[in-house]
Amino acid sequence: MRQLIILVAFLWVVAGCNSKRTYFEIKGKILHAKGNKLSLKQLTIGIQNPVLLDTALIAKDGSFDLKTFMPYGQDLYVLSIDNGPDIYLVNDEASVTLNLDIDHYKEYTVVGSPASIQLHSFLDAYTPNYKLLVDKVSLYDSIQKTEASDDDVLIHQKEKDAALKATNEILTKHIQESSSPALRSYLLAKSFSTLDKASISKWIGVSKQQFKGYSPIDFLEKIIKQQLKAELPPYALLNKQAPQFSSDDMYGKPFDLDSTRGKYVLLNFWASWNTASRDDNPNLSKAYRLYKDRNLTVLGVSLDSNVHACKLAVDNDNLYWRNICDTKEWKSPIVNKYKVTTLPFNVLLDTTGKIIAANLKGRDLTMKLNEVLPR
Amino acid sequence: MRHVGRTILTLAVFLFSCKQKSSAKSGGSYTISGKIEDAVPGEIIICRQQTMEGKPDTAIIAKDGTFTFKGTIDEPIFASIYFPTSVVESARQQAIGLFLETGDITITAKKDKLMEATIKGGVCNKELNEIMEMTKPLGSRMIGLSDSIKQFYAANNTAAATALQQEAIALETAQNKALAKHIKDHPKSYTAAYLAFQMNSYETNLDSAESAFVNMDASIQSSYYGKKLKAVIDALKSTAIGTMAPAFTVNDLQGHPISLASFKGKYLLLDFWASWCGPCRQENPNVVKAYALFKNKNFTILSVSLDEDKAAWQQAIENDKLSWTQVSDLGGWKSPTAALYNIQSIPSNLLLDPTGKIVAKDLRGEDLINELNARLK
Repeated sequence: MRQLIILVAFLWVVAGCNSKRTYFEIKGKILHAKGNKLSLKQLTIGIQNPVLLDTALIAKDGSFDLKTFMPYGQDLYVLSIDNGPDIYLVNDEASVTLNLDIDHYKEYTVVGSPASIQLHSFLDAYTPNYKLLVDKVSLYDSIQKTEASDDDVLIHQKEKDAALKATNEILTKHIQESSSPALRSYLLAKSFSTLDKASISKWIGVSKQQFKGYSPIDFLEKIIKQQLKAELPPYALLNKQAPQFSSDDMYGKPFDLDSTRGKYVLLNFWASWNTASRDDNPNLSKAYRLYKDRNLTVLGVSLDSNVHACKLAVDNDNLYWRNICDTKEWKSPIVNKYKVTTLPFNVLLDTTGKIIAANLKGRDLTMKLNEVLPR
Repeated sequence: MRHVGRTILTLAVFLFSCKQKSSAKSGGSYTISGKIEDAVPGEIIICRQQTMEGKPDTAIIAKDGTFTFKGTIDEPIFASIYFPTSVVESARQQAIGLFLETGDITITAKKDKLMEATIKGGVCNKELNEIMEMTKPLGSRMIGLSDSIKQFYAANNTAAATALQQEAIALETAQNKALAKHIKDHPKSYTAAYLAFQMNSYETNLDSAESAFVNMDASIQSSYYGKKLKAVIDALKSTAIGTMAPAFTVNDLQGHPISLASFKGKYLLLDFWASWCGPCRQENPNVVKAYALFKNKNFTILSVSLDEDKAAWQQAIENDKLSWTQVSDLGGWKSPTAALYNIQSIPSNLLLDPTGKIVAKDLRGEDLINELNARLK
């Protein structure tokens, strides 16, 4: 073990990372341990794998003492107890005292390290909330696949959203309150699980200002930038006025989008030859059946080259609403105006003709209709 | 760090299996019509049943990227479709997994994304799609936890991934719960039986394996996957710590039969390995060390290799300087000895006391030395 420590220390010296403190000591008592081995790892977000720094044994009376080189600045440490829990600590002070009873390990106490104490109170609040969130998400997930009504699913959706909000509030509260860069970077890494990308990016930006040059935060910034870059841009016409068009429907009757003002309109782009559209049609029929009496109009825009094929599919799939088929396929001006690139594709217009949602699939479609349509 | 999304992996394609005769029911003929647009025309594509009975089927990619497989099955069986080259690389990530079942099955896929193929046709495949879907949304709804972990790993940073370990385990647990519920709710399904076998052969949880089996309809219990699950349960029971190690006799390098019973009276490490298994070869120096330290203290080792190629086996024994008794039925993953002990991954070992009772399992690295120290001081 000594060799490893010397090697690690040597590397840091070479890298030019000096520090005023040279040792980090963790001591205290661990009662009722199932094994007597302890190992201490350094967990530097963004620089390396966890590095094993030292191992020690717990004495018969439960006491232990670990002393290790603490080569540079503040960092996160994991104390692993053989056959027991991992305890996360921060070296914001040179000496930290940990007292823990394996039988009630969550109630461990730390003396001498404000950041470790903060970290402990974060985990106390966050862990049960996160578990609740996972339960709520699982429940919502299974319910929305059943025949349950949208109203019933909504109850579960709200519970899920509330649990997510509570978890994120705990995260952001602790991010704000954490004055230690090691703790901050740990919390920021955690936030990748539940926080939206924009918020993660914002908090990383704030933290970068606050802890200039702290490399774990730079690493996380790199990752969030990659994630933001990989994100699909939102539909360009979202929250904009729907482009006007008029065209004959497939029976030759004229249709004008302006005539639908005052109604919610679901505009669905599809084609008889596109299997994904055909697979989606039962869901669309269901949405129509459930919500046609709540001020909703559905209009299909078919990209078929042949009206007959379109009519056959309309009959076969029970599409009881009006359909336009201008036989121009992807060159249709309507398809162009609405920037359609995949099939099926839909947009939802409110009573003023504004596009309030796009590309709604499966249960999300009926949930959205249930949410916005007047009862 | 436990694997994130291991459930997804268990659903993936496994190219090894044991021989087992399947009963004649729910059988019939199938036709697979596939299309891989970016495949090279003239290239060979393989369809291999999980039972590994008979030769794998091959087809040739046509000019428009299409291919066809036709055949008959006794009952729905999981199969993988892959390019021969992908066996060398990571075959598990490069194969289309589907059920062969009566009727027409269509596949559309991209060559570098065979795992994400769209499969249509048949009730088993429909349910398989549902299961694949179940393993997805939870992670993605949690705003990309699994993506972040992957990216942390990709950036060569297990430390950051470790910070999300707790979350990953919570998600995996929830997912396994949902899958277990699916199995319970589908007692007459071949797909659910397949899932039950895959989930339980990698977890050594006897209770969960037994409750899944007991809940199955009799017709499914006697199906291929039902029997496979039963074999896992039997092996778990017969190799649980505290039970007597099941007897076997296997030939050594010279072709002499060696029986497990002949080692009675000594502590014995029963070690499963293979020359082609990287982690086994890495572990070997540690086993050599244990042998050197304890061979004079009423301890010895019996290594069972899952090799198929005798020469490779012999070469590895020489290279790694394994000086104790070496046996192999040369059955590879189909080795009956490995099946007897439900060996699903190697290296894997069991420690037997002088009476032949199993006293410890899967001792690696320092743990092996420590355990022997404690027992043989």
